[in-house]
Amino acid sequence: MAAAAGVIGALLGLGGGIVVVPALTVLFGIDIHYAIGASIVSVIATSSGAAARYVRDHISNLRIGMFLEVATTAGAITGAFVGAYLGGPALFFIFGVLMLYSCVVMFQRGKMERASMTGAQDPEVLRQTPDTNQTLGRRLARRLRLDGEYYDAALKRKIAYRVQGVPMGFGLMYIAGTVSGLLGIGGGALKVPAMDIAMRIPMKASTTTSNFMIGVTAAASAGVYFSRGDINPLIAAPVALGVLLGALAGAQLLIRMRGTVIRQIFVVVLVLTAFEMFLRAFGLGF
Amino acid sequence: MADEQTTASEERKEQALEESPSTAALSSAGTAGNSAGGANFPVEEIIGWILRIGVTASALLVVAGVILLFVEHSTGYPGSLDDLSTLLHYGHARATLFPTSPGDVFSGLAQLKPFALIALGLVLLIATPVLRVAASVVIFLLERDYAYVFITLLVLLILLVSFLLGKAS
Repeated sequence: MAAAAGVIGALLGLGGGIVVVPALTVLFGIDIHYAIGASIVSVIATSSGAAARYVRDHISNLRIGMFLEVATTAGAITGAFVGAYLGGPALFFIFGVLMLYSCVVMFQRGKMERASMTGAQDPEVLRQTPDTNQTLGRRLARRLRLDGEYYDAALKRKIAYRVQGVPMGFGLMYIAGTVSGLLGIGGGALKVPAMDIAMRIPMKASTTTSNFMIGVTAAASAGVYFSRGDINPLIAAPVALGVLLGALAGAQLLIRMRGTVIRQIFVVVLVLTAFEMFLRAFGLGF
Repeated sequence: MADEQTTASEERKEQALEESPSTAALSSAGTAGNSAGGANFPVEEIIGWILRIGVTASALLVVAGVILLFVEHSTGYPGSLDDLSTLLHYGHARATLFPTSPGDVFSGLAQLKPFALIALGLVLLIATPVLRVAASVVIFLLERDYAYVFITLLVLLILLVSFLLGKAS
């Protein structure tokens, strides 16, 4: 179970935290606090386990990641503190709403790209059709040198991209960090759409950069959880080991898949998880 | 003078991109945001190595701790493996059941407590992303990208603050 979470998490840049908490609480009847503690460990395991490979393949973008990390780690601390005051149902509801929203937006984007596709052009190249280069987002992106490129093994070509929507991305990352600190998840479900949609970063670069970022954000929350006694070795150990094995397997797959397929899988996972979130918001659990 | 020239060439690059996105995109990437370090110094490879070593070491420690757990049939702390409910209950006494600070971890290690060994592995795992951030500071220093040295140090500072705050609460 933990291995499957690891594979899915690594593949989609999610960090697997979304699967771990419900699985532990529902299938094994474990207290949610211990589940969250184990989950944050698994998130780091997925992130560090898979990221090693991505970094060497130059797909993830270090500057984008680092710059946005300022927002996510600050958010994680905020979340860990606010979390003491907000109730569970409220959190699940907010999260469910956000996820459905990202899901819808990503789906729309996919439709638009398929409609305008000509010949063998991959949507990842088309999405870079430039808007004006003078928007605040573009100016910041150039100032901070966030643009990048990578070699796509599935398409057998270099993909260069230009980053947009920087302030929006930064703000979204802060929110993603806060939610991560609140729920003990990686927050990839919020980070990837933020990068993919708001900042127009290609899917593969978004998911791999997200993977790296997730680990750092989770580390910010993990310190708090550990001191609180939320990380129980009996529970965290098998989860961490299972997820590590899964993450190693998942990283191999990502390099070879097409960005659009990844997005489709991502949408499916988002819908399922959003559904689960709403159930919990209304006290139904599942 | 130099500024005008840079903007002019930048504009030409942007124009080239607009005309034929697919081919021009390849040449105008410039200093790509995601390739750090010069061709001579494989800094990103080193980060990859650090992560792998950290993750592998933590996994080994956790495995060793789990083995010890079975061999001794005890966690090294109060709570019985025969009655898991004692270990799974989320109560106020949980700080006695397993380590909750680095100090606890090390004192537990000194007595070879299985849970302390597992906890050490987990703490190391938690440290791997922090190590990665620290390594990034070095990368940016080598690239003389001081703006990003600052940004990365800021992240490191925030992480440090989070660990300290954790202890306080």
